[in-house]
This record gives sequence, C-alpha cells and structure tokens, in this order.
Amino acid sequence: MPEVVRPGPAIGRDDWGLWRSVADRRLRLQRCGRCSRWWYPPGPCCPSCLSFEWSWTLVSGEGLVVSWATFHRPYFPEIETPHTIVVGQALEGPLLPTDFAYDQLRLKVGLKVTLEYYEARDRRTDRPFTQFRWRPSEHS
Amino acid sequence: MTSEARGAVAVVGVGHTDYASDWRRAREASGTGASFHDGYGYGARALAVALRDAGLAKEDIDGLAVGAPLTSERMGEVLGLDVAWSTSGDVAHAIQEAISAITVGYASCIALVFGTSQKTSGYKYGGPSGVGTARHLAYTFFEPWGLTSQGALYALLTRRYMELFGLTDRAVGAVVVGQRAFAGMNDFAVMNHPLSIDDYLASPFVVEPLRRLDYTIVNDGGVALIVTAHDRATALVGRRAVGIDAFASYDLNSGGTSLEPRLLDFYHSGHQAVAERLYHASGYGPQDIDVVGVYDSFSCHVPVALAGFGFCRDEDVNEFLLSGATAPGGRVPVNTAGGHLSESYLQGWNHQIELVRQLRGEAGPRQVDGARRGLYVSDVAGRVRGITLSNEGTAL
Repeated sequence: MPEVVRPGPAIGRDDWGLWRSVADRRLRLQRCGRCSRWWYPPGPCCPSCLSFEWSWTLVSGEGLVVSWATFHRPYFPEIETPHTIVVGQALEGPLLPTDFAYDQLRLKVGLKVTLEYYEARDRRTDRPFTQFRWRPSEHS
Repeated sequence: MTSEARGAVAVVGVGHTDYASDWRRAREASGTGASFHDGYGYGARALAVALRDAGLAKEDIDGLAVGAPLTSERMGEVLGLDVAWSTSGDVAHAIQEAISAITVGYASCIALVFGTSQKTSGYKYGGPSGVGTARHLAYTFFEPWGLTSQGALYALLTRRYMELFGLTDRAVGAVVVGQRAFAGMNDFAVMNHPLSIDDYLASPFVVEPLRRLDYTIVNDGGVALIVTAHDRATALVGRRAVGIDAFASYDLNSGGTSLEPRLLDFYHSGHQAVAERLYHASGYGPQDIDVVGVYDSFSCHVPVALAGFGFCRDEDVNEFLLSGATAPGGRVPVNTAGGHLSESYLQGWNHQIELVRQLRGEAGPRQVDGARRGLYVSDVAGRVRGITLSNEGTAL
C-alpha cells in the first residue's frame, strides 16, 4: 500500500486526549460526567450543561452515514483526487467527517459504518501519525 | 425590530464599481500582485457614485459602516471623513447597526462602504492557506482528512438535501441558468453570456455534487449605500427612497464545527426564527414579496433558503426550481442582477444595490414588473440574516 501523506493535525489545547486515543487506535471523545452528553471537536466544557466534569470516553466505533462529497479539484498537493469525504454520525451522537477509502457508489444516507485506523505521514513535519476514518460495516 | 423602528430608515443612494471592468483588470493583473485599487480604493470609488446618486455631499455624512475586513479608521482617512459614529462588519451587520444608529440618534446619514481586492490578492477559499479560519473552526479542523473549503462543506449539505428531498442536478442547474439569464440583462455582470442546462451539466465537478458553475466568481470591486431617516430620504429623493422595513438575525453556533446545524437542520431552525420575526415586523410574508436576493456563494444556498423562508416546502423545491420560479418571468425572481454566481462576488453587498434598483423601478430590461417588496437573506455558516425592503413609504 502506498504511503499516505496528509496535512497533520494542528493540535490545540483541548485536542491532546483525542489524538492520544487515535494513536492507540481506540477513539475516545469527551463525555460529560453530569449530563452524559458527548461532543466533538474537543472543547473546554460540556456544551449542554457547561460542566467541566468530563472524561475522555471510549466510543463504540459504530455510526451511520449522514452525507458525503467527492473532491475532484485538488486542494492539497499530497492528496490525490478524486478524494471522498464521508460524514458519519457516531452512535454516541457527534458527527465525524473523515476521508473514505472505498467505492463512493456504495454510500447512502443511513449506511452503517465502522471506524478504522491507518498510518499517515505529516507533510509539514514529516512525522508519522495515526488517523481514523469511516468504512462500511462488515454486513452493510 | 420594534414597531417604532419599522420603516424608519431608507436607502437614499447606491453606488458600485463596474464589476465587468474590475474582472478584466483583475485577470490581467493576476499573479503580478498589482491590483488597480486595494479595498479602500474600490470602496471610495463606489461611495463617490452613491453620493451623486443621492444628491448629497460628503459633508452630509455623519456615520460610517465599513465592510470587514476593512476598518472604519482607514476608510474614513481615505475619504477624508470624520464621523460621529462608525462600525465594521458584514453587510447585514452594517445595515443592522445603521438602522440602530439612526433610530437611536447616534447618526443621521450613514455611508455603508465595502471594497475588496480579493481576486488580485489571490485569496484562497480552502486548502492550506484558506480565508475565514479564525471565525469557523470547520474551515481548518478537518484538514488532516483533506476536508477544507466552504465549497466542500456546502457540497456535503447539497448531497444530503438531494438524498432526503429529491433535489436534482437539473434543479440546482435551474438556479445557475436563471441567474445567468438575469446577468445577460446587466451590463455590469462579470458573466453574461447565456448558459443552457446542458452547459451546466457539462461543467466539471469541483467537489461533487457541486460544479464549477455552482461556485461564486471571486472578483475585485466596491459597493456603497447611503441610508438616512425615511422622511428625510423621501424629502431628498422622493419616490426613489427605498425603505428598510425590518431586519432579523439568528446565529446557529451549537455543533457548528462538526456540521450539525448544516447537515441535520439545513439551517432551517435559524431560517424559521428569522422569517417569523422578519415577516411579523414587516407586516407581510413570502406571498407578498416580489423580488429576492439570496447570498449565493454557492447555488445550493438558493433552494435551502427559499424553503427555509417559506416560499416552498423542502419536498417541493425540486419542482419549484424546475418550473423556472426563480428565473426571469418566474414567480419568485432570485438574484436578478446575476448574484454572486454571475454578477460578482461582493459578499452580499451587491445584492442590496440590486434590490434597491428593482424597488425604484430602475433595473432596465431585467425589471420585475411592479416590484414593491424585496427580501434579502443570507445564512453563511449558520449566521442567518433577513432584511425586507419596500417602496411603499413609511408604514408608521
């Protein structure tokens, strides 16, 4: 498999837990300890009840397709086109836009998808990093 | 807007640069970095035209609202204009603030000025050095997956809307073709050669399902409006005064980066909040509106906004567009100067000029017969804005 090169993540102060969990290939998102809400991308407090009592919590890795789009015009020199983006809604609630390495003709709203992980190299720093994306679930 | 403020303010003068010439010059200068003007120069050029249009002198202006990212300090310096009141922001913000300032009495005659050299400056919308990233995390957060650019985010919206409500390529194309037909009757439009639905369908995808022709034209240029109290406007220019009947706004911020309001709601809860207050304050609704301006950085804004503001249901928008409703001669003419797609991308400022022209009856061959009431809507990144305008005089 050819090496995947990507713009690496710009890791903000709230994002470390997310990218550490991705490096472990087990995605964790913030979940509120008071009202149980999940959210993404990371932020300082629960956007429902403003609680700061949250924890990085393992997600099921399962979701449903909300939408998709395919880049035909290249925006990044390292990303070949056509390049498809899928937005999947995690069973926990948050929407996670990711790239998609499978036939886009399989996509439909509500298709069951599962998270997978892959290794990429950051074009800017040349460092390897782990990345997550949706793939069709086994039996969908 | 309270009933006291309703109809209290009117547009008394409009001006803009020749977008077609701006485009030719910008293309010639492309890559050299040498723009004909910077944003301030374009804005100054437009204001000179607006002052002549209103029959006013610079000394009559005591307030200045400037289109971001321009600053009122530098714009005022370029214009040699000291003012009692100033602000800066997008066009809807400038109008909202100007209504307040005149109603409260901070200023009596306000120049609203915008200019940009975004084309010659080589602004990028998306990619490694995109614009607007400070405001919207969605423009950068998904870079590691190769997802940036407002166009891609609207492509995601369009795909889901197509899947849920049966919107087709041909119906989206009807928006593009219709606006181009209007632009063909506008000498200032950048793109005015006729376009067929087959031309549209042959246009290459940028981010599928959106094609090159679904994207705005990035251009240089300037726009200015002058607003004052309605009674004063009428005294100055008589029936050419166009009243601003109402303004309403609603910001959908929750879940914005992960695209929840965009994809799960199509911004409709914001549309409905704005429409309800706007129509209530105006005393009229979608069935009474003769001409519409929709902020169209992408064609898909039009169907989603029309459904959100009550012109048709989501399920019916496909047939609505295919019937030619938004095109010349249609029931709800939209972006009658060509909009961002065909006239020029002046970030909603040029739409105000066209609504004023239509309501003055000065739109020439593209004039909507008997146009009395106009609506402007924008919903960029969930910031929903609505403005109603009419030529019916103050309703007080």
